[in-house]
Amino acid sequence: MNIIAVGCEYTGTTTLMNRLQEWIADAFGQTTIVHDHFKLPHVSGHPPIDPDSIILTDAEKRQVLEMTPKVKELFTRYTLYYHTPSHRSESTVLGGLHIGHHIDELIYAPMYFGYGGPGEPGDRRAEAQRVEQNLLKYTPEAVLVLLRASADAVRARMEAEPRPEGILRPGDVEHVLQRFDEEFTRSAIRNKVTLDTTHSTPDETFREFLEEMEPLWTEGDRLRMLTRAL
Amino acid sequence: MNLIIAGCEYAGTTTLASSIAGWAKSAMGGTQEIHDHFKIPNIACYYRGTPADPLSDDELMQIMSWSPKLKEMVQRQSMNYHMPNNSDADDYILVGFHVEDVVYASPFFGYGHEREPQGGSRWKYARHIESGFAAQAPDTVMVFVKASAEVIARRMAANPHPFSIVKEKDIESVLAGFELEQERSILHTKVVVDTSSATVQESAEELIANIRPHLTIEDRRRMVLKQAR
Repeated sequence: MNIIAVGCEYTGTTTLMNRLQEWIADAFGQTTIVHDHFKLPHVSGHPPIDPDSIILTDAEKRQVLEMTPKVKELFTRYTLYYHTPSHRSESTVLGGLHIGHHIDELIYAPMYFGYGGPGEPGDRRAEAQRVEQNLLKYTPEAVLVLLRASADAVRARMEAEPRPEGILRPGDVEHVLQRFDEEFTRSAIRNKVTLDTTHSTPDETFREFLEEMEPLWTEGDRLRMLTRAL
Repeated sequence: MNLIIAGCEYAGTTTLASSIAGWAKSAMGGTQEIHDHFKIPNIACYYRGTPADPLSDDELMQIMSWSPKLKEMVQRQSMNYHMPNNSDADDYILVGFHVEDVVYASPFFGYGHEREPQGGSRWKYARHIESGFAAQAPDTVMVFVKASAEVIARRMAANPHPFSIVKEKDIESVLAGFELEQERSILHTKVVVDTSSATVQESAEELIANIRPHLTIEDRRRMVLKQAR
């Protein structure tokens, strides 16, 4: 299992993956990690599993944000490939849940962090293609999940629950939503799921996700579910 | 050919990496990659696409000021980025790499000690890295470059490196650290070159002579083809 959930901030990617993490603990009897650290300055840690010592402090987040674009590009490129398979794993390896990953980088890096644009060092278009080549080679069962919501719904959520370290600017909502749609369509990952959270509750979205996933679970995942049910 | 060349600063690792790459080019042709950027703050790598300008002194100073957690993270992830599966080069040469990381992390950069949250003592991560090499590139040759403490101190005084990690007072303990890692390394093929009293050319010739028996069938095939041209 390798699931990558992408979407504009406030569409519900983190909510969905956190629910999936809980569901996996119950259905598989195993703990998996949600890698939700591809939006600067969040580059480390997997709450609630990791101890505080692994989560960045406010001072460390400042150090990340104060990096020049050149250093941010290096740092995030290493992180991205650290979370990209470079060899085939045994089917007994559970895999992971990722949020944003190479698609976040492709969209947000040139827009908000000043690196990774076309032809620049660490061009995120080229890096995203390489990342997907590795994904297809080593984890062809990977699933790309796009979460959508209307621009009005995203703005309403932004207003109701502002995130001090959020990336998205209100004036960019339409553009960012469109960019995620474009990159999702362009992605070479074969298994794709789309979910629109505009009018649905997190529970409803999660049920819809599980229905969409039914044909996409790997043989290893199905064995986990079966053995767990014994 | 896959090489990891490790040794104390000023022992001659960078010089020998360059020499062996030059020899490989002339003897076997093909492509050579040298990655010599595992000593903080020199962490930049652009082996694909457009390279950036070298890191400025301000950027290097900024990296030096990072917390141990950030330094640990960038080093761990950089090593993962440089595993042999990620390279298409015919000859892949890493300088320092995981061995340097073990020797320098805890005393100089504040991470990788016994209570390190990311995997404990750094030598454990080094063995994990070596397991990856054993699986991905089992022909890898681990080269340890040595020099006496007096020679290191003399070279350091004659040609100090910018952002040098090792100071004169550290030489003995750093040399001991590399010795320990040589013993601990689980890579099958290990080669040692002592540069204390040899010229660059003599050391390069010694290294080539020591590596020759460990060249792979593919390396030998390249060599034959190159000679035939």
